[in-house]
Order: sequence, then C-alpha cells, then structure tokens
Amino acid sequence: MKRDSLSPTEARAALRNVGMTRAQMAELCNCPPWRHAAFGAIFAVLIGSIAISSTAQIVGTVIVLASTGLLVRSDLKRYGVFVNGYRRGATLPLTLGYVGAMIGLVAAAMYLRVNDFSLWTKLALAAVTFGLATALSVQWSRVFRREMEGR
Amino acid sequence: MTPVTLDPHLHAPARLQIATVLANITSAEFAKLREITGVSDSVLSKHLSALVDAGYVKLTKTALAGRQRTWASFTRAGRKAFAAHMRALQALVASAEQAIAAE
Repeated sequence: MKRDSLSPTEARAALRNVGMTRAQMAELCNCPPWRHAAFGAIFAVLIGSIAISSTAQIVGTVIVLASTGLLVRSDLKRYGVFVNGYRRGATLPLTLGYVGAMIGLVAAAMYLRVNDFSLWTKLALAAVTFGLATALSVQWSRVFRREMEGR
Repeated sequence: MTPVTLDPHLHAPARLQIATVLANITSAEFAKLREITGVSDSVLSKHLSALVDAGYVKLTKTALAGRQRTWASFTRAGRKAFAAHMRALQALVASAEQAIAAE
C-alpha cells in the first residue's frame, strides 16, 4: 500500500535509517595507505615527466593514463562504488583547491624544463607533488567520511 | 498535524537506503547495494526496477574482472526527488518538535 504521509515518529526513523546508511558508506570509503600513495605517485610521475623533457612527458602521460585506469578498476572491484572527485559536498572545495595547486605545479614544471634546471630540482618538484597529492587524498577521504558521519 | 507530502517512490526503507547511497556517490554496484540494504537479490531488483520506472535510477551493465556487473546511478530527477524527500522528512520532524516545545 502506498502512502504519501508519515507520522513524525516514522519520519524520525527514516532519517535515522539515512544516517545509518551514510555511516556504512563512511566505513566503506576507508582507503588503505597504499591507495593514497598510489594517487600521489601518479601525479608525481605526471609533474616529474613534464619537468624533465617533452619525450619524458609523452611517456609519463601514457604511464599516468594506464595507472589511472588500473587504479579505477581496482577501486571498482574492491569497493563496488565509484565516487567522482568533483562530487558536490564538503569535498568540493578541497578538490578545486587541489586543481588550482596542480595548475601551479604544471606551470612550475614547464618553467623548470624551459629554463633547463638540474634533474635533481625536477625530481624535487616531483617529490613535492607526491607529498601534496598523497596528503590531498588522505584529507579528501577524511572529509568525505566526516560528511557521511554527519560531523 | 498537517501531513507532509513525501515521495511515495522513496518511502520503503530499502529504497531510501539505495537513494542515500546514490545521492552521495556516482554509481554503486548491485552487490554493494545488496550488502548495504541487507535484502535479497530479487527484492533489490524489484526496488531498483521501481526506481528506474520512476525515472530516478539508471542501470548500466559493465564487464569487470571477467564478470558482468550491474551498476546503479541516480538520474538528475532522482537526485532532486531525494533532496526534496529529505527536506520533507526534516520538516516533519522539526514541526513535531516545535509542537512538543509549544505544549
């Protein structure tokens, strides 16, 4: 039988049900440390290869595309859900901030390449990217879980 | 008390659970939705079909690790309906609390 109204007690129970489901989702999206590091490594390869040379950039781009595909496949298999990084919610400012930082890192990588900086400087930029991307991944997961837990 | 109009397609607890999952992610696999809702395959299929018929959910089949898997995602209408349903539930609870406080 279909009804179009609920008592306040039923509505409260429905909201509790929603809260419990969101808490389950928070548990689901608890990524292991290697997953955050893999995200960081992909971006480190991207920025490092751009900084080194145009040939390295082509090779780097192929590696980045292939590893991103593998990571997404592994996520789908392991978690059974796909979460778009650009989803609306508490995580969006973090995502947009990271996109801004990435644009800055790409510009820095191009600057190092054009001005022929040493390989160590370029690798240092890749290392900074790794740290930043890994930290972003950890923080993104935390914010998502907090949002799901209603905190 | 004035009854609050809610979305009849999202009344059932399992459907509300499905909608909660799909409102927060891009897509979820059938097996994951079954795990979260705790219902059988056939019951979940029925709920998903009802949500598809209402225009709230889109189902896609993809092969992953050699197996055909069904993925569910919200349509724009589904997302809007869930948001409206949540607002209605919250309004209902809030009005009940106000009534208790006024007594």
